[in-house]
Amino acid sequence: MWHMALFNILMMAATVYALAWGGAPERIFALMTIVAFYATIRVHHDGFLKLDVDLFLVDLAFFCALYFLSLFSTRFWPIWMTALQGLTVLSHAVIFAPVPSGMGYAILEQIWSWPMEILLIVATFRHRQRLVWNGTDRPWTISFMRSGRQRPL
Amino acid sequence: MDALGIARLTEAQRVALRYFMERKTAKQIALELGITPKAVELRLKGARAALGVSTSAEAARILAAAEHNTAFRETLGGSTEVADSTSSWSDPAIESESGGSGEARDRRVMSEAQTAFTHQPGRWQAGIGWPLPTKGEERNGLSLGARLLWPFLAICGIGVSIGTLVICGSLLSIAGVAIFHLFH
Repeated sequence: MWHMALFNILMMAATVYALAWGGAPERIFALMTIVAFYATIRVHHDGFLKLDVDLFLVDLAFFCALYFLSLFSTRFWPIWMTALQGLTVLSHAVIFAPVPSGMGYAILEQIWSWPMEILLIVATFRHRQRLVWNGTDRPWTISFMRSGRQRPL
Repeated sequence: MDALGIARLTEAQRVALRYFMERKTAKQIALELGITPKAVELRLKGARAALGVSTSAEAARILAAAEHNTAFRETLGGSTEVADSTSSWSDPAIESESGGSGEARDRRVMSEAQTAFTHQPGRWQAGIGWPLPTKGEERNGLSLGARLLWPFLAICGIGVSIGTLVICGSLLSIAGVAIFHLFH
């Protein structure tokens, strides 16, 4: 299970980095990741031998939240995050294949989380760059969601 | 001189000039960037000093030309009157409104040039645009429709790409095994 340990370290690093140094969208995504991770641990018990409805609902809720975020953010990454989470949701359909594979279900269900965490690190890094270059990095496209001035630390 | 001046521009000054080219006032630029109008004026002033020009319009023109914005250059370069008038066009973000028929004419001509520049069918106007940052556009300027659509297009794109890779990989693997057995 070394890959699980490695993923947990990556997720923790990405989340802490985003929460500490990210803009509003990065922080919201980091918080959503924590909630989704906790919910996944709570609902998933039975392995990947049959459709895990609870896990599917958690993935679907995460997808909807990301989709909403992508509509109002000035960043491009939420669109790609939404797509990757959409693929996670679609991965549940593998169990309905003519020859269902528990291993295939497990791999497809988890593999999309890796690029999402890497993307979060890149997104936070680019946010820091924009802050240095422009002195500010507006997080939302609509005025009532705009936060105050942000300065590099 | 221009190249040297362009190199001297900070990224913040470049951003302010790009917004200026979108016919935004100092107040509007300030709102976009989340800074004060005074800070915008300082950035534009710094840009003018770095480029050695007297107006922000001229500074923006030089930057646009340097960034290979051919559409803008064509717009200005298509008419000598337009190109020449940019240097005398006063900066609405910095300078107060003042009369004078010559200046008003210059302002109108420059305004038309800017309108043609900003309303050219670029990546945001043509189609739904791409959900990727570019050197000139770091922020997501996609329309709501594009934002609604792109996640699903990306799902299809990523899904098809990875599916194709897996299938091709499998076929290559099978072919490799077949060739190995053929010769051994």
